[in-house]
Amino acid sequence: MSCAEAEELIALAVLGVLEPESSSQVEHHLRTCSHCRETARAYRRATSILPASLEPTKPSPELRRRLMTEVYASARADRPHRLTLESIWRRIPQARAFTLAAVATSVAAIVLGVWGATHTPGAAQTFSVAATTNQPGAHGQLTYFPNSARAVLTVAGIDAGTGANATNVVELWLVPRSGPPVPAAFLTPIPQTNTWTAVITGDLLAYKMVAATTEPPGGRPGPTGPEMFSVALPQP
Amino acid sequence: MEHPEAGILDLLAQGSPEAIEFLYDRYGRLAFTVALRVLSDHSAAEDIVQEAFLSIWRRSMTYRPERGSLRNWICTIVRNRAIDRLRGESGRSRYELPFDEKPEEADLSDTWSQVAAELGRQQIREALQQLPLEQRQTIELAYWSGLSQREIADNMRVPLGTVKGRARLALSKLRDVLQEREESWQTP
Repeated sequence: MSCAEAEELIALAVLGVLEPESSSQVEHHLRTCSHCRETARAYRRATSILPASLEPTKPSPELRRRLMTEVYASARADRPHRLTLESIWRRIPQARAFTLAAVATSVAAIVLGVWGATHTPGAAQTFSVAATTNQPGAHGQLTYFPNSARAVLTVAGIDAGTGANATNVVELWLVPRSGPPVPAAFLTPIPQTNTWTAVITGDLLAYKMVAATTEPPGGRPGPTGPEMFSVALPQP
Repeated sequence: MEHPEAGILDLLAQGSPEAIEFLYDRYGRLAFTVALRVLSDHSAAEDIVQEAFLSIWRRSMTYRPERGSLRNWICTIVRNRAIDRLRGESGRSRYELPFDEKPEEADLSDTWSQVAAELGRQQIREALQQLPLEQRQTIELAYWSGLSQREIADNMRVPLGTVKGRARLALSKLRDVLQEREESWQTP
């Protein structure tokens, strides 16, 4: 096969339309021709820009909720096999689990290099969970890392529903100073403990509160269920 | 050189849900745009994006940075799944060109990422517009329609050899445009 013939097949291959019957010919040529291997790399790159030529279209917010509900549900199912840390966690008495979660958050702060910087911009900030009459036992804390615009919420003492309500999710909301709440994340239970956790991304200090509600599977664009707990954020 | 998205790859490898949340927030819109371009159906495109990201989460260990960016990997998975959906379960088998994994490929990819990031949508469209119409139509049909090379030839009413020639010429011209960009990045 000549290089000119090979280049035609390479072009079809990177576009995804080369018939499998021709594949052995082009592969054989590529093994012996560095020029065509370079051409293959260049054509692959040229093809990779095609998606960026499209006018971007936003999917519905429901898609994100559906996807993340399935991911978190799957993570709960898989985690015993995937995370050895969890097996350690299971050996800890439940009564001590929440205390250790708080310790773990502190360790994360140290690892992130923010410990001891409480009086400097970018220092981690910790806020307490406030219970509601619906969930009077809710307690926990939210640690916000301004440098990475991420927060870790750890909460215990909540009842997210049993029986017919067992498939409900606990959805977290960022409540702005004005305007409707914004969906932020889903709370994930740590198996065999009464502790739940979530990572929230965003500039939390631009909001007045984080709140949690129970919602049907997949969550909702806005809160519909009863408020379970909240975390007040500092106001300017 | 550390891969620019190494941190998120580590999280993915650990099965972290937050990693897929991060990737979705970063690439979900592009993925949906790609799926919609192939399927022309919002609902079907959303299904494909959901399937693709779940697949990415479960198969994260199969990602190899030397083969290209996460962005391109995600686009490829979404496009392949969308085309499979378009063609039905009995869709033709897909051949993928083997990669030549030279050690320097990762460095080239880094430069390439800069080039790709620098090129805006308008510039990419202009590069495509510079191609003769029949060449542009050939690569767009090949990339987005899910048609086989024979079906493309029938659709364009030209011999199969013409399809092959047009595809090669189009990618060759695009390569030249992009290499000019890449060289401008490498020249101080």
